[in-house]
Amino acid sequence: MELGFPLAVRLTHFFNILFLSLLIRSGIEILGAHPMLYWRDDCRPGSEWVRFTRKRMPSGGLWTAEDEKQPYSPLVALPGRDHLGLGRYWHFLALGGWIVTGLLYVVLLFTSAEWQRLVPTSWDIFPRAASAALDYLQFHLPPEGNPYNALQQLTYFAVVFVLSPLQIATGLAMSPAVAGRFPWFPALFGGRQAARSLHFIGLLAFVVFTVHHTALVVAHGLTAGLAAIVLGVTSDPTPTETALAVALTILGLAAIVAIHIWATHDSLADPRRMQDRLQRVVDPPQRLLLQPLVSRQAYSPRAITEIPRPNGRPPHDSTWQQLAENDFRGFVFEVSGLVEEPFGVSLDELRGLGAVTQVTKHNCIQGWSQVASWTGVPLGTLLDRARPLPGARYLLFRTFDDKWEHAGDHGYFYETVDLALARHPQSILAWGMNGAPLSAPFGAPLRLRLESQLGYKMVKWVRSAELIADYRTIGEGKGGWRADVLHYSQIAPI
Amino acid sequence: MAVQVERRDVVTVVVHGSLAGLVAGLILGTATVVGSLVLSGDASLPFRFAAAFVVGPAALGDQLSMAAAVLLGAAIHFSLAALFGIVFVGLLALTYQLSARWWLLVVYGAIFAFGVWEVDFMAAVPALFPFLVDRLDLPTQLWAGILSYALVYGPILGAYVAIVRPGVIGDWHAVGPPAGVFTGTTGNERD
Repeated sequence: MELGFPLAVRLTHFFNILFLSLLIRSGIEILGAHPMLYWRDDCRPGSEWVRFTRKRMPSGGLWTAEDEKQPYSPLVALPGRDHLGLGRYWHFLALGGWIVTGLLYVVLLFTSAEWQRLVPTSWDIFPRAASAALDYLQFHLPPEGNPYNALQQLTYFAVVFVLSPLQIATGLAMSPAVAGRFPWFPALFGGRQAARSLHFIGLLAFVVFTVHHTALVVAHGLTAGLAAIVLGVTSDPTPTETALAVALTILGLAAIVAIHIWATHDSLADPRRMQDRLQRVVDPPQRLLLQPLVSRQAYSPRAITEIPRPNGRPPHDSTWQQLAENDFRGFVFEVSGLVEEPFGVSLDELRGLGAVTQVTKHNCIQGWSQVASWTGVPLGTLLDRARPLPGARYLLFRTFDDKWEHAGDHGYFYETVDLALARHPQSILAWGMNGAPLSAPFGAPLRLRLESQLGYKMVKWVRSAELIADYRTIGEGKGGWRADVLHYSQIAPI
Repeated sequence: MAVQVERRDVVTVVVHGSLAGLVAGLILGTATVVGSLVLSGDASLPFRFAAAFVVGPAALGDQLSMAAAVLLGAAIHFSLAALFGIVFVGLLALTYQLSARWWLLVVYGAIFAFGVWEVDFMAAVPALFPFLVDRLDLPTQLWAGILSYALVYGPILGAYVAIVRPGVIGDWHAVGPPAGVFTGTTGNERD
């Protein structure tokens, strides 16, 4: 049976180009948030094997993970110019499209005779592929296959059934959400950072494949190749068919370019509007997939990172400065809002409410990670003491963090946490890190540790907590300073 | 807070790209001539091959004197070597890799040179100089092509950048624990 290029193959080929190109550009945006790749999960500064930034951190002063970001041009990144939040949304959206396209393709293959186009049925595929490679080297075209020659078949098989699943698997292994539920999975790849490195190498493999694939289409005859993949014409195309195939190819590529331009332009011109649109598509399935599974971390104290990264500089707020000078002795943490029993406690009183210690991995949205031991009081204990009123749905944490280091006036840093998350056993208000009181760069006097969330939810330099019914009336209404200003999501489950 | 560790400017890229290409080209040329002598017993073949890019098929026979073939072939070879050296250093600068680890630069060089061979031999020759196709038998392709490009020209390009570090104004490893992390100080005192 002669295997041609049925409509489903041609359509999935088109959508594969679209989604893969979106994945590559949005992946570059995500890489720019922490443009360094490691093999070990402690991300020790200087241990990166490659980096795509020309910055170095000075050894004479405090630097933070924020300083390590390298904004990329919108020409290569989607959307570019340091928009990690939107880059992630685009990546997840394109990932959904790519996986659906891939699944449709595989289902099509195995519900028809089309599987024979990719799956080798004999070991002699290897010598035949080597022979085809030698033919190319000597400027001869290898004998045509059905529809591919042995080298093409082997390569396409590897891309569809090895490289693509590996990219998905390493992507999953990078996800702290997966690590929180299935810690054995990232370990298969040597850890989250090793998976991140492999994911990047996989991206390069896709680029190399695409270049060679395109070059060989040209070598085999561009117009005949286009007639096959666009119109499904496998015999010598007529001039009309050739013209139509070329025209449709140009149209298809123009449509893909137009989608990229629109996505980039609209993301940069009105990030909030694009955030709203993407959020509606990306967040619900994320909630659906993660909610049924409990995320719980527990690392050995031996895994504690030797040189932890701070993120964000300590406040310039005068009250905080004065408190810091007195070792936070006069500090009172207040819980108020929709509660029956508002209260205020000093640090000593807070310590008396009951301490828990947990050794967990901090997973920054930028891409780096580190392990530390945290000591504090469970948020559930504070809620029990305050007794929330029926209308209370969120805990609003206000901070001393005036965000002086961020251009523009966006107000003090704040974050909201829904009460279900607050009652997670690993949601604590921490005062200790690695057996010592919190230091200023890591959030003294108090910081949140929400171990089922990405790092940006874990507010530092906490001043007070307030129970509220709705976060849409706070700030820009997105549920947190980073959601308001940087277009991150209000939820960051891992 | 961060400082720039690489400086990107056209002059640095052109000057050091050319130099890297010329050094790598010299060694590649020597290796190619020796390889030709071993494979075909004719050391002039690489020169004639390169000269044919300009002169055409006549360069492959006696119509072009040995001296002219050597001069013209060497000029073309070194021009292309320098040109691809500039492209290599330019790509490194664009991707912030001038300060990359030395072994990575060598790998980059090998991959880049393999790509150059593909462009030169697999695309340009059949498209622009089809009369050379018959002269490229399999041993020549494997040695003069893949091995000498990927194992000689490219790694030397990378080694040049690793040794000279054009455009690099800081050290890769000039990092340590961020000040203030363990001291309990605020780290950023009010200015």
